Amino acid sequence: MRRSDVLIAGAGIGAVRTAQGLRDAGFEGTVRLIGEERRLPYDRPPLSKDYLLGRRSEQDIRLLDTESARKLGVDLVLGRPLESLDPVARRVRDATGAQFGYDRLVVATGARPRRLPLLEGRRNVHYLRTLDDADAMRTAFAERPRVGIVGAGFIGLEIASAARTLGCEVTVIEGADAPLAMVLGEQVGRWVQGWHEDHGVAFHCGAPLRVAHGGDSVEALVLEDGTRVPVDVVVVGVGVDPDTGWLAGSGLELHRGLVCDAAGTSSDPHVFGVGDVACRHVDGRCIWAAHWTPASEQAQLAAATIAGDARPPRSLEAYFWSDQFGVRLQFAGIVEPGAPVRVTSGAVEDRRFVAEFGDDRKPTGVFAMDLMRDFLRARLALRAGERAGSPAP
Amino acid sequence: MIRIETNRATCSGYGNCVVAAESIFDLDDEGLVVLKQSVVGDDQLRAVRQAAYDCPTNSITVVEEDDPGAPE
Repeated sequence: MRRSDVLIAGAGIGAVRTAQGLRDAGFEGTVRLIGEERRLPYDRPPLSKDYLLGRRSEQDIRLLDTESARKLGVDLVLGRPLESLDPVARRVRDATGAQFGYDRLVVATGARPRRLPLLEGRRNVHYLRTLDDADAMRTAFAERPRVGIVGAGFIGLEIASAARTLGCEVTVIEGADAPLAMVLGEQVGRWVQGWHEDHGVAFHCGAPLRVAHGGDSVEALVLEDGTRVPVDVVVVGVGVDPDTGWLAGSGLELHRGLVCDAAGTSSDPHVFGVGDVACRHVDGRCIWAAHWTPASEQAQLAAATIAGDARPPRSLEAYFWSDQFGVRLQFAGIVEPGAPVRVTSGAVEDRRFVAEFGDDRKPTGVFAMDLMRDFLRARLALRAGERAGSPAP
Repeated sequence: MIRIETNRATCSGYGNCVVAAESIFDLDDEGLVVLKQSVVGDDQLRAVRQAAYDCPTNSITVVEEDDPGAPE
């Protein structure tokens, strides 16, 4: 069995930032990073944006190569999906049966797209998690097919934007009454829908998918209201789930994801959780912020804790961005269901605006299209309010 | 001392650097990064590194100077 002082499970942003953070904090022990894919670690957000559009290459989005891993003193083990964890013996087992021991384990295996049973086994159905998935999608879009996108969350809308930009005919179907409704409420969803419609994307909202016609390949998506959407390619973006399957028999506490405290420690003090795989239980709340920036922050925090340089978490803020038809969408904070939304600068018609959620004296969240600087000011104010409004740590 | 370099050609205005270190980074009218200070003391190292690591476009470089003990 191979052993290391720190074993990092995963190869995305949380995993790589953990390795870097350990060395920054002066950690001198052995560090091993185990990735499921054979590819060198890469950054995932561009997969549904510039990478899909062919504007950035694999090299452009790489997080670590052989040389930088060597300099960092990280042993890269790639192409090894993990199967189980034994926290008592402090070892993990991969799909080939090989075992890796550790003193501290950082779980950073991310999240997986939720699959639709209705579409299982069909050849022209795509999900997006990996570079291989993005490559397959890019190949499919090259023939300018009719693309049906199931799910109008951020991934679905980003892929809609890329597919349309590449010349495909695109139809988005969504069971809720508006895109992004679950995340940002119906009002903001309709604004974003308008932006897509300006670019020729068609929407069917409010009627869930009932059946997929065709044989080996889906030929048409039929909705609950009887609408029939003919398609050549189907893309599914109906959410993700933390990749905790391999932890099932470990005895570690699992909830939405691997349960961790604000500093990233799980129910086992030798095991930490970073990024989309983990949820944080803080002050009786379960926080699951499956986004890039929190993963980077959590990794640096966990690394510091492991290196004996513990520090308080900066913020539990959810911040994320999206790029659609050349415009940056950003959000920070939280949206209470049914919270009022008001535009605080710019104008919705211009697709350049900042909008705040909640009480105007104490907003809980901020959304923007473009207007990066105004958004940043509102985001900083929100963070200052959070600090002022919560008890000192 | 720590020297900070930014690449405005790749910067895309996310603002995570400003959130990490408001006294050092800002966004200008175009929504691109500007430095309020390009050389800062070692006590700022953690915040500057955080800014660099939280940058989605890798547009911030941290150069540690006069520190022979730093890893390569």
